[in-house]
This record gives sequence, C-alpha cells and structure tokens, in this order.
Amino acid sequence: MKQGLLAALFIARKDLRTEFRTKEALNASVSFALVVLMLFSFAFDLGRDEFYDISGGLLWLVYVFAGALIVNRSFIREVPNDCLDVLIASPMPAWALYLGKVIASFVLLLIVELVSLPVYGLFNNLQWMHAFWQLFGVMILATWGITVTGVAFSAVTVNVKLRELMLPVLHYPLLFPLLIGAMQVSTALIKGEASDIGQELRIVIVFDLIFTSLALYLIEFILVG
Amino acid sequence: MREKAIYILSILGALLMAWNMHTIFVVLAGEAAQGQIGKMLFIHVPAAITAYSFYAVAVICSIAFLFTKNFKYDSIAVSSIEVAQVFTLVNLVTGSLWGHIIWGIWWTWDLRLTSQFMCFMLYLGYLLMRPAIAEATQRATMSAILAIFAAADIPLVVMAIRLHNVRTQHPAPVLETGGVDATWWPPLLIGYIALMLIASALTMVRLRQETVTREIDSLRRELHAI
Amino acid sequence: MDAINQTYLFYGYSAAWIIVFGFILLLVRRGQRIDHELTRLKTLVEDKEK
Repeated sequence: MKQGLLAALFIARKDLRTEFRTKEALNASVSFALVVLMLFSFAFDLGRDEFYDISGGLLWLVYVFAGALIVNRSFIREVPNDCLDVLIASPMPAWALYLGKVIASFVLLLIVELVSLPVYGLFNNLQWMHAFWQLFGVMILATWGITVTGVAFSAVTVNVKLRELMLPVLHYPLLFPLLIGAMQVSTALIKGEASDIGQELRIVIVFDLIFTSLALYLIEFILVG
Repeated sequence: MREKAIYILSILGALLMAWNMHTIFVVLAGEAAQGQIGKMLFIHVPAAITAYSFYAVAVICSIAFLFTKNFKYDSIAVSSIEVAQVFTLVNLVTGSLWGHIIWGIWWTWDLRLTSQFMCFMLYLGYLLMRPAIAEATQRATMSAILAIFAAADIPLVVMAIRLHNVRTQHPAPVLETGGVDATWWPPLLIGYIALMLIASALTMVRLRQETVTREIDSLRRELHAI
Repeated sequence: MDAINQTYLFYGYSAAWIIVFGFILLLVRRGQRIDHELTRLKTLVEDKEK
C-alpha cells in the first residue's frame, strides 16, 4: 500500500515535470478557457444582478471545457513509443499508475482554474474575492471529481478510434450531478447567499467518493484487461 | 429452440398488448382530472420500467463479464442496452406529448424526464463507443466498465435533479400519478408484462445477431490465416 | 378539449409503436446483412480449403 502510494506520487511528479517543461497542455487549456470566457461575455448581455444568478454555472462550464484538454492527454501521452505498455508491465500496481495520473491532472486543472477565475471576474465585473477560500474548496472537490472520471475515461479510450471525440461524449453526461452541485454552490458563494448549500456540497462529495473508489477498483480491468 | 422461444415470446407479447389496448381504449373511462390523455400512462410507465429492468440486466451482465471473461455476457449486455434505449425513447416521447397537453410545454427538467434523458445519453455513449473499438476483448471490457460507471451515476443524477428542483423552486410538473384509479392497475401491470415479453424477444433476436457477428469475426480470421 | 386529448393520445401511441417497429426494422435489416456476410465468408473458406 505504501509502495503503491509512493509509486503514485512518483508518476504524478513525472507527469507534472514533463508538463512544466513544455507547458503545452497548460497553455492550450488556459488559452481555450480565455476564449470561452470571451465568447460567454458576448453571448450573454445581462445586467449585473442577473449575471450573478448564472455566475457559478458559467464558471464551471469554462472549467469543464478547459479540463477536457488536460484530462484527455493523461493516458494518451503514454501511447507513443509503447510507454503505456512499459508502465503497465512494471511492478507498480495499476491503481498507483492511475492515482498518479489523477493527481497530476488534478494539479494542472487546478492551475488552469485559478488562472481563469480572476479573468472571469474581470471580464464580467464579478466580485468573487470575498468568497475565495470557499470557492477554492469547492474547486478542489469538484476538480477531483472531474479528473478522477476523466482520467479513467482517458484510459478507456486509449485504443478507441476518434478518441478526442469520444471522451467528451462519454465524460460529460457522467459529470452531470457533480456539475449541478458545483454550479449551485459556486453561484451561492459568489452571490453571498451561502447559508444552506450543505446538500449540494454533499452531492459533490458523494460523487467524488463513489467514483474514486469505483475507478480505483476497476482500473485494473481497464489497463490490464 | 431459440427461434421458437423468440416466436412464442413475441406472439404472446403482441397478443397481450392487443388485448390490453382493447381494455384501455374501449373499456376504461377517461381519468377524472386529465381526461383521455391520462391513458398515455399505460405505455409511458411500462416503457420506463421495462427500460430500467433491461439496464439492470445489462449492468449485471457487464459485471459478470469482467469476472468471467465470457463473451456471452457481453452480448447480453449490448443487446439489453439497445432494447432499453428504444424503450427509454418511447418513454421520453410519450412523456413529452403528455406534458404538452397537461402542462402546455413540450419539455421540462423534472425528475422523471431528466433522469430518463440522462440515462439515454449515458448509454448512448456506450453504444457510440462500441463500434470504435476494433478488438473484441477490449471492446467488451471497456463497454462493461462504461456500463458500470453509467449505472453508478444514475442515483447521483436523481439526487442532483431533486435538489435542483427544490432549490430553484421550479414548479416542476410531476409527470407521475400519485393516486391512480383502482381499475387502472390491471392494464398497467399487463402492459408491463406485455412490453417485457416483446423486449425479451427483441433482445434474443439481437443476441443471436451478436453471436453471428462473432462467428463472422472468427471466419474472417480463419480466412486471413489460410 | 377531449378531442385534442384523444388526438394526442393517438399521436403518443403511434409514436411509441413507430419507434418499436422502427427498431424491429433495423434489427431485420442488420440480420439480413450479417446472414449474407456469413454465407459469403463460409463459401470463401470452403473454396480456399479445397
């Protein structure tokens, strides 16, 4: 168990180091997030108060679209030169490989989100700083859900034709409950009416728990067969 | 043997359905509050329950496949899911038409319709992914994983929608009947049985096609080897 | 009012049966296609074995 966790951290470090050297996915993801933010600004022409009602929803739409770019790459980057086969054949347990990639994707997506948040506030004249730490908490919980399911599907679609197309089609419907919870909590936090968001938060946490345990258990079948 | 079973199931199902339709349209009076349109219930609800039953079968077979690696289970899973999708579509369309009359809207994000639609979308992904994987064992494994993930998601979707409707104070039209007239229960049950028989016949036909497809694959490999 | 009700009831049931029969048609067509493919491959294999 401890060896597995160490192996997972090793994989996470490797992925993060590779990513920070080139910053390909980060740059692409942040740029995409900014473009989507800009499009949203033009798509909606709402007054300030009305915009606050949809603020959380739009924020998470941006995060999910940008997240697809990051999460997509996690297993697919290992396909050239048979790296994936080598990793699977190594003595490291499959769940450790998976966990490592989830941690790496999680950190990367969190970075993208933290960069996009101020820009989102800027473009739409939104006050979010009063609730930053609570928002950060929600971001951590929901991003974990997105990366856990996304990396699992990335592993599933490694050998699928049209995989870039398949991953969103498979992933987004699954994220539906998580996104509803995250969107509602975020909207409530930004509006400052966060008195009773306990139940929505519970959905996010339950989603995380269920899919983390399910994915950790099933990843053996996905990777090894 | 299987051919005979398919014929018997489908004929029984069709006869039962015909008799049920006669009961519904000729014998029963319209419901007090909703008028004739309430009779949409007799296809709307059994279709939903049939779909759920077949999704459940598919998920159980998917789990069985992961542990036994027997392709029979994979075939049953894909056949059940295809048939369940058809009945989910029936449920969605009839629900929408019903809602149009009762509430004046074609669609609403109420608990029933939304969770059915999510079910449809999740398993549509399953059906879209299958042709995209060339190798049979991988296809079966990944499909099984997907089916299990989708099934785990459904309760969460229900929780989320219920919360959303409460939160946004949607006067969510509840397309369900709380108090159904006592005379309506028998046709409802018979409708369910009839649809289950028809669905089982369709699944068996599809299952046979899966077996033939696997035979085709092995023949192709043999041809390639010769 | 009841007339509209009945019309939509008819639409509803028609839609349901059209969907089910559409699926049956799909199955039949797919069945014919794969049966044809099966016989073709079987003859090919027999020819090659001779």
